[in-house]
Amino acid sequence: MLNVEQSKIPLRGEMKPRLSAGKAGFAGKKLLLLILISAGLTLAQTYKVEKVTGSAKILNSNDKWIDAKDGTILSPNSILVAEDNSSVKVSGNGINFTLKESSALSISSLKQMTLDELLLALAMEDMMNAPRKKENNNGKTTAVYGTKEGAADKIIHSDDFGIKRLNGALQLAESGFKESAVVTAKEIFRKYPETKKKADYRIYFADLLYEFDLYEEAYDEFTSIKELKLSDQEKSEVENKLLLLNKRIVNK
Amino acid sequence: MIFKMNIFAQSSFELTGNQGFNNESSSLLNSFEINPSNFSLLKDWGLTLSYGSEFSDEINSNIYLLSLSKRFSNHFLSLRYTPGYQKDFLFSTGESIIFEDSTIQTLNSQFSYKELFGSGYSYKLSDKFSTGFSLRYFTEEFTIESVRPIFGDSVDIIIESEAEKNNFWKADIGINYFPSERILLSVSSINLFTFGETNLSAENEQLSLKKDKAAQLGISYLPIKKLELNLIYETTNSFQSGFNTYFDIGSGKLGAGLTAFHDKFQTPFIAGIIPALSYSNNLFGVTLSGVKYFSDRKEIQSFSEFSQDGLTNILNNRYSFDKAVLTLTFTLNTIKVQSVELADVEIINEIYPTLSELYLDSPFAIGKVINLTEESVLVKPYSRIEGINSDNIQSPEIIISGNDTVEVHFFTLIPESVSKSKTEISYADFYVSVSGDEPDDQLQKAVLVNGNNSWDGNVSNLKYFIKKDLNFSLNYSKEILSNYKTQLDTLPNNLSDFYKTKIIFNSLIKNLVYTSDPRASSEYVQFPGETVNLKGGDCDDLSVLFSSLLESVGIETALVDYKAAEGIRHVNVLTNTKLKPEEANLITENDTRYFLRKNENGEDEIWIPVETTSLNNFDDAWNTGVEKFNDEALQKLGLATREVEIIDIY
Amino acid sequence: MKHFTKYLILFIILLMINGCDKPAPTELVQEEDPLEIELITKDTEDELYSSGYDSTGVVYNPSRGFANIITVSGIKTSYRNSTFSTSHAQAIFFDKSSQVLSPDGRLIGFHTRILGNVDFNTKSAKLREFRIWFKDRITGNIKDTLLGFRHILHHKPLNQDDNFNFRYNSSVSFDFDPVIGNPVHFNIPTPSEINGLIRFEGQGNNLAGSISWNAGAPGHFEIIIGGSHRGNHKVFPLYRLKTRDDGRLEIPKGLLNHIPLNRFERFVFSIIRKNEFHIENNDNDLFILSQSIHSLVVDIP
Repeated sequence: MLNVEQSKIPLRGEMKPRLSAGKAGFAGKKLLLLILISAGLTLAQTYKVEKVTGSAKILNSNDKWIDAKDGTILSPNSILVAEDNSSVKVSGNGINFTLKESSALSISSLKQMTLDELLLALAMEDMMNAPRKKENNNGKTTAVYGTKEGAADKIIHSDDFGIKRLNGALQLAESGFKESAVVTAKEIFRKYPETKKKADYRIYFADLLYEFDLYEEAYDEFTSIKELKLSDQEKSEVENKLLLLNKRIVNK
Repeated sequence: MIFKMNIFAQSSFELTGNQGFNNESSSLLNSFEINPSNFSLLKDWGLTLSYGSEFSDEINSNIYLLSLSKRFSNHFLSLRYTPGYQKDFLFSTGESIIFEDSTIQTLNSQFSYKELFGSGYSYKLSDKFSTGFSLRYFTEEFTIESVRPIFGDSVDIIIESEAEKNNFWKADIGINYFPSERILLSVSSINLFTFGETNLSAENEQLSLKKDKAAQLGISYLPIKKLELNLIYETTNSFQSGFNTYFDIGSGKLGAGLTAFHDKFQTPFIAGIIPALSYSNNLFGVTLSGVKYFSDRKEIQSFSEFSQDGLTNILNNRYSFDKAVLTLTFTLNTIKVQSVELADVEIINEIYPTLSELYLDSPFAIGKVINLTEESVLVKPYSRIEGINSDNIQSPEIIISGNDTVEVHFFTLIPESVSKSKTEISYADFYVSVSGDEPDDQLQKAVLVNGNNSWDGNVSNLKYFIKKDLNFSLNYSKEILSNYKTQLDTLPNNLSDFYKTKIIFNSLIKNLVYTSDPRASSEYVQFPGETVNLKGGDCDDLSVLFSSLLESVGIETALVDYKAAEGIRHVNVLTNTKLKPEEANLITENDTRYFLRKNENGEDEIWIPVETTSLNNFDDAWNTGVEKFNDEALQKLGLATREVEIIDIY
Repeated sequence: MKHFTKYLILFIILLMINGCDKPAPTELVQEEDPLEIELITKDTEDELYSSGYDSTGVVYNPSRGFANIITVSGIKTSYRNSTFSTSHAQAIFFDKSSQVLSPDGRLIGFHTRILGNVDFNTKSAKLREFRIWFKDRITGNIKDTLLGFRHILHHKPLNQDDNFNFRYNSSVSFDFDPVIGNPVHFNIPTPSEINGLIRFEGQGNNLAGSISWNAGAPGHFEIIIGGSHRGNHKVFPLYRLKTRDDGRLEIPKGLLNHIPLNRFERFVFSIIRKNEFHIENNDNDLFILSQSIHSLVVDIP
C-alpha cells in the first residue's frame, strides 16, 4: 500500500557540497549556529486549507476531529489527514503544499529548514533525553505493560496512523522540505514504534541523511535498519550503503 | 632565635643578654638592665635559665637568672628571679679587742648587695613603637661589728653586731623605635624612680647602692641580614659596643658575638669583653658566654676607695671577677607562626537558605590564600556563617606551593532547621588553617542571607522548593486522591500516573488564582504549602506546587524553563505519564500533544507539558503547555539554543 | 611537651639546691691604723684599779708581778679650757714574798721595802706612804691599806715642794744608792711631748668622738679612756686603745655610748706616748716606764 516515489539517490557527481557535518565537527560550530538561528527563527507559521479533494480531516489540539474544508485555518498543533483517494492543498507563509491520500501531516512540520537547523534539531533529541538521576524513591511505580479495553472506537489503529504520518513526511521530502521531513520521520519512528519495522521508509529517510552528508547518522541508521527483516534487495542495498558510508567516514 | 651577647656598661650589664629585634632573632631574656622598657619580640611563652660561675680565688657557681615571660597580643610581661645577682664585701675595720684571756678578736663589717626580683611590662603601640617599664627589687644589708661596754656590777666589753637592711625598688621606663626593619633605637631611663628605702644611718647611707639618675641610649643596626651591630651609651659616660652574627645550620642557627664595654669606674678604658657562642632553634637556645676583665681583679681592695666611689652595678663593677655563663632558653610557643595568609575573600553567591545543598557543590565564596612559607603547605579552609551554621563547615583541602597564591573555594551546608523569614545581612567568618587547632588567618565578610522564600532565579534550584515541603504535598495529594480511590482502582496501571496528574491538577486549581506578575516576585518563591494557603502564586509558585504534589506521590516531573531573552521568563511543568509510545492513544490521538523522553533504561516514555498558570482545567492547561513547548522548545529549536531548558526534579 | 617541661622544672630545682654558692666576698681593708681595744677595769667601783691611775695616769696591775717599778711621767691635764702640767717620778720596790690580800682573798699588792736612796735628776726622792684602796667584795665597802713607802717626786702646780721637772724628748737621770751594794745610775729617755685635742659630735647615744694629737716617732702609744665618777671625781680607767702614733683616732662609738650617766660624769682621755723597758731578773725584775701623757677631761656631753 505504499505509494512511494522512488527518491532520487544522488549520484556521485551530484554530491552536495559537503559541510563538515559529522557530529564532532558539528559541536564546534554550534555556537555560531545558535547566534544565526536564534536571530532568524520566525514565529509559528499559519496555514489554511486551499482546496480539499475528496475528504480530509483535521485533528485539533483538543483531540477533536473536524472536517477540513476550503479555507479552514490550520493551527500548528493540529494534524491534517487526507483520506484515501483524497488530497488537500494547503498554503500559507509563501508555501504551497499538497498532501496526498492516506497521509497525515502535523502542520508545524510544514516549514523550510536550513541544514544548520536540521543539525540542531537532530542534536536536540539528546537534550530531550537528558538522563535523569535515579534517586527518587517516593513510591515509583513500575509501569506494567498492557492495555485494557475500552474507548476502542476512538482509537485509530496506531500503526495505520503512523504510516499515514510517514507518508506525510515522505511528501514533505518530495515537496522539497527534506530537512523537516527527516526530523518528522525521526519523530514518527519514535512515537509509532511499529513503524520502525518499515524498512522501505527507513531506507528512504536514511538516504536523506546520506544526502545531507550526515554520514555518521546515516551509518547508525543503516546499521539499525540491517537488523530488520529485509528483502534481499533491501539487504544488499543496505550493505552497499554501509560500505559506502564506511569509506566516507574513514576518509574524513 | 639567636642569642646575642651584649654587655652593657655601668648600670646595664647583662651576662648573656640579647635584644634581638629582627625576625631572625627573638628576644626573650629579661634583661631589664639593657632593656628597661622590657621590649621583646617573643611570641608567646619564654623561659630562661642562666647558670654561671665566677672565678675569684675559688670558683663560685650560682643560678644567675630564672625568668618567665609571656606575650598577650600587644602586651608583654616578664618576671625574673636573680639569686646570683649579689655582691658581698667584707670589711675589716682594723679594730680588734683584747679580751681578758688575751684572745684577740677583730671587728668586721659586711656589706651585702642583692637584686632579687624583677618584673617588666611592655606594650606594642604599633609596628614601629613599643614602650614599657621595668621594676626591680633590691636588698642591701650592712652588718657592722662594734664594741660595746656593758656596765653592770662589773664592766665588760662585748662585740655587738648591728645590721641595717635596706630594701628598695627601682623603676625605669623606656621607648623602642624601629625607623626601619634594620634599625632599632631605644631610649630608657636609669634609676628614674627609687622608692621604698628605709633610712640608713649616715655611714651606711654612704655605702648604699648608688642610684644616680641617668639615661641610656641604644642603637642596634643590621647592615646585612645576619650581622647585628650594637651600641649603648649611658649619660654617665659608660658605653658598650659589639656585634653578633649567625649562620644557619640544619634547623637551627649557630651564633657568635663579641662585645666590649667601657665602664666609668673601671680601668682600663675597655674594661672587658664578653664573647659568646650560641646555638638556637625553634624550641630552645643555648648560649655559652663569658666575661673577661682586662685588669687584675684582686680579692682585697681599699675601703676608702669603695666608700668614696660606691657601688653602682651589682654584677659589673671593679670588684667583679671573670665569669662563665651557660644560658638556656626555651620558647614554648603555643602560638604558632602564621604559615598562610587569607588575603581576601569574595562572596560570589548570596545565601539562599532553601537551596540547602547548592553550596555543597558550588562555593559561596572564594578566598585568596597566600603561602607565606617556602615549602608546600596543606591548607584546610573552613567557614561559618552566623545564623546559618552552628559549627564550622570544612571545605576541601588544598595544597599550596611555597610562596604561591591560590584561590580557595568555601562551601557551606545549610541545615534543614535553618529558617529565615526575611532577608538580612549577616556575616561569615572564613578561616584557613595549616596545622593545629588555631587558624593561621581569618577574615570576616558580610554575607547576604536571604529569606526562606528567596530564590536566585535559577530554575534548576526550584527543586529545593519542591522538595522542601514534600510532607505537606504528600498529605495534600493523598487527600485529593483519596476522594478518587474507586476510580483510580479501576484504572489500568499504565494510566494511573496520567489520571492522578489530571485529578490532582483539577482539584488543585479549584482553590487557586494565578497572580500574573512574575517579575515582581521573581526572587520570591512560595513553598507548596504557602501557595495553597495563599490560594495563588505566580508561574514559579504554581509550578513548584504542582511538581511537588506530583513528586510526593511518585509521579516524575520536570520543570521547563523558558528563558526568553527578549520576552518574559516563564516556567511550567512536564509530567511523566510513564506510558509507552504505543500506548499514546490511551490519552490522545494527536501526537503533537506529547513528547518522548528516554528513561534510565533507554526506554521511551510519554511526557506531557502542563501550563500550571492555566487554571481552567487540566486539558486546557495541557493544551497551552503543548503550544508553548512545541513552539519555543521544538519549533524554535529552543532546546538546542538553550532558550528552553528542561530541569528534572529528582 | 609536658614531659619536657616537667624535666625542665626538676632540673631547675636541682640546680637551685645544688648550685647556689655565695659569691666570694671582696675584702676591703682600711689603710688606716689598726686599733686594739682592751678592757682595763672590770669593776669600776674597785678602787684598786684607780689607785695607780689618778694623777700619775699610770696603771699597774699587781698581777703583772713586777718586783721593781720606776716611772717618770710628764703629765698634762686639760679640763675645759685650762691645762696644767705635772711632773712625776716614782720608784717602788716590792717584796714579792710579802703579799697583801683583801679580805676576800684577792691579791691586791705586795709590801714595799726601802732599799736605799733614789735620786731623779739628782734630786732626792721623798719617801711617802703608799696606800691603795680596794673594794672589799664581801662587805662591798671600800677599804684602804698601806703597802709601804715609795720614793716619789711629784711636782704639781701649786705644789712646789717636789722640785722635779720632767723634760720631754730628753732624759731623766736615775740614781739608786742602795744600803747594800753598789749605786746604780742610768738615764731614762723621755718621749716627746704630746698634745692632744678631742672633738665630739652628737650626743647621748649618738656620740662620736675623735682625738687628734701631734704624731710622734713610732713607738708605744696608747689612749686610755676612763670615766670620772660622779661625786668623788675619782677616775677609773675603762679601756686601753692601742693604735699607731699617727695623730688621729676615731673613737669607736660603742665605747662612748652606753656610759651610764648616773655613775660617770666626765670622760678622761689620756693620750700616752711611752717608752717601756723591762729587765728580767727572776724575782727581781725591773720595769721602767717613761711617758708623756696628755689627759683630756671632758664632761660627758
